Amino acid sequence: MKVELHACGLKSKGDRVRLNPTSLTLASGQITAVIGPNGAGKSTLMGLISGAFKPTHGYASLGDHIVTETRSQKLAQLRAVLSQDLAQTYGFSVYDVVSWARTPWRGTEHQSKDAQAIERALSSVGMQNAAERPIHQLSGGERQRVHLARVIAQDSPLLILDEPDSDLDLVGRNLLDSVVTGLFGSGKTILISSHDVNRMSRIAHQAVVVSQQKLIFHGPIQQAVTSEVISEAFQSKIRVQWVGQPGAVQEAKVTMME
Amino acid sequence: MKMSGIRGKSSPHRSVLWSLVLLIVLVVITVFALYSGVAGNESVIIWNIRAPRVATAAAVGAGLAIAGVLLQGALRNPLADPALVGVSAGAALGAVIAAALGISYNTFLSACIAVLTASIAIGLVLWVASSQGRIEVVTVLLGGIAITAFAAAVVSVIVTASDLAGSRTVSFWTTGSFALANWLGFVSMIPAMVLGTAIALAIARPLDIFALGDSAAFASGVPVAKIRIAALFAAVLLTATGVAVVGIIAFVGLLIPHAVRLLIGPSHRALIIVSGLAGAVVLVLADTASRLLLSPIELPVGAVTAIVGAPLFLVLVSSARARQGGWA
Repeated sequence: MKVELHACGLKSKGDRVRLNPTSLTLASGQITAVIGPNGAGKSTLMGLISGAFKPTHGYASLGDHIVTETRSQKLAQLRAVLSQDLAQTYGFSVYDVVSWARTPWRGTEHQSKDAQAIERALSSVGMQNAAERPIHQLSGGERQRVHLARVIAQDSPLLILDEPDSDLDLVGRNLLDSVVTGLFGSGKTILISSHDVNRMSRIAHQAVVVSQQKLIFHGPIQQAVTSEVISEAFQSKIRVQWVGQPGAVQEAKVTMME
Repeated sequence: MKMSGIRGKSSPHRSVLWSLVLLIVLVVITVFALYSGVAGNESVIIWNIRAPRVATAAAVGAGLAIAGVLLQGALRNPLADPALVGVSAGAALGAVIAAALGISYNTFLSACIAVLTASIAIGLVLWVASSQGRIEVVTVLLGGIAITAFAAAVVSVIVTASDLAGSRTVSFWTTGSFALANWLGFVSMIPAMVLGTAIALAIARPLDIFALGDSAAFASGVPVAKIRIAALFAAVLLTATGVAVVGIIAFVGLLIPHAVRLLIGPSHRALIIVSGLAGAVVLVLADTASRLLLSPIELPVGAVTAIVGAPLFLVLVSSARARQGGWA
């Protein structure tokens, strides 16, 4: 499925620009990292693709569908979203919450796969034994894993993960990275934002770098995570060194300079 | 079908059990209510006076409780209640305006006008309370206070100034009473009650998903705005037609959903059914108490529910405050 922004931008009330008109095509079946400082427009870019925001300029498309003209159920068959603004949920079990992700498949032939999809998703984040626990009794990190499972259970070709690691500890982040890599292995297109550039350089194939409401780079991660691009994005002197043998997993070391 | 390896779906057993218990209690108190009172137990009194009264109390109680479930779910607001968000006062105003225009109380037309004005009331409250797509918990209540004050003032002006408003006093509207219930009034609210309940059950599952917040619910495929409007309209149907017949009864719609949630959990399908039954039980009980406690003097039923309900509302406010850490 082709995921594209067509001169797509957003101005909020009072003419404040949240993202300048941007055109890009995501690499299908690959992991694309969204990198940039706080307030650069990362969430806006992801929200324009997911349909959370209506663009004031241009449009976003998923395959043949223009995002803002697509019904919410169809849209949810095409993309799943893990956003940062989740409400606190009381009383429902982990299983209930993950099962909500199957909403878009109600009344379709895929409905028969509901139980299987939910079980697989819970197992993939290591929460299979917590299915009956009430969600409000979990820790922040466990909850984030449940919501990751929810997004996986939705089983859409595109996954949009907006800072899914914000509440995760070291172990949780490692788990997240292997889950994301596993999703890539099953053919999903993944758009993921994070402040941890080092980790993104290890798992992502492509990068979208935004700074000051503008796309400043889009291309292979090795060309994006360089001293020049990252320094420009963060408006600071930053040194990037790639380590690791060619052919093996390579990783960038990002350090601030005086 | 193969059994699922992972369990954790909410069990329906508790809600079935509670439904049965409430149904039995409802039957018992209905029989008790039909056969007790100052007058004798002649069949005319039972069938033409007490029976429509009990039926009305049950329907109004069920309607208010389900409306409370819908408002709390759709607005993600633990303090929502038809009387607190302005729906009830809007409905009372409609019924009084209709009466002043010559439309008799307890008729279908009167109910329709109450639905219309109640819809306008909730529309105004939400217009005030929403900012950039977010509906704020406290602003909804503040808007409800303002709308209620305005509607109540106009009601009192019309009732005082016009003979056409008939025998219904200002205090009838503000505290509610089943004393003027008859079969005509009961029949006038049934279409809206049935339609409102049907809508509620049809949107029960998307309302569960509302718990994630608007953007995540939308991302999961829920048409958030449509479901919210359907829920609010159903709440208006379930509240307004009852108010047009019996006046404003507060706190039932607020407290019953909370109590039922403690018993059977937050899943909306079960919550709607069990809350409806519990609302019916509570109002039949409250009305019977208001008739018999100080017999032959009859207490206003809304006063009975408020005396029990208002202190519990304070407890709820305090726990909601502690849980959410402050109002955003």
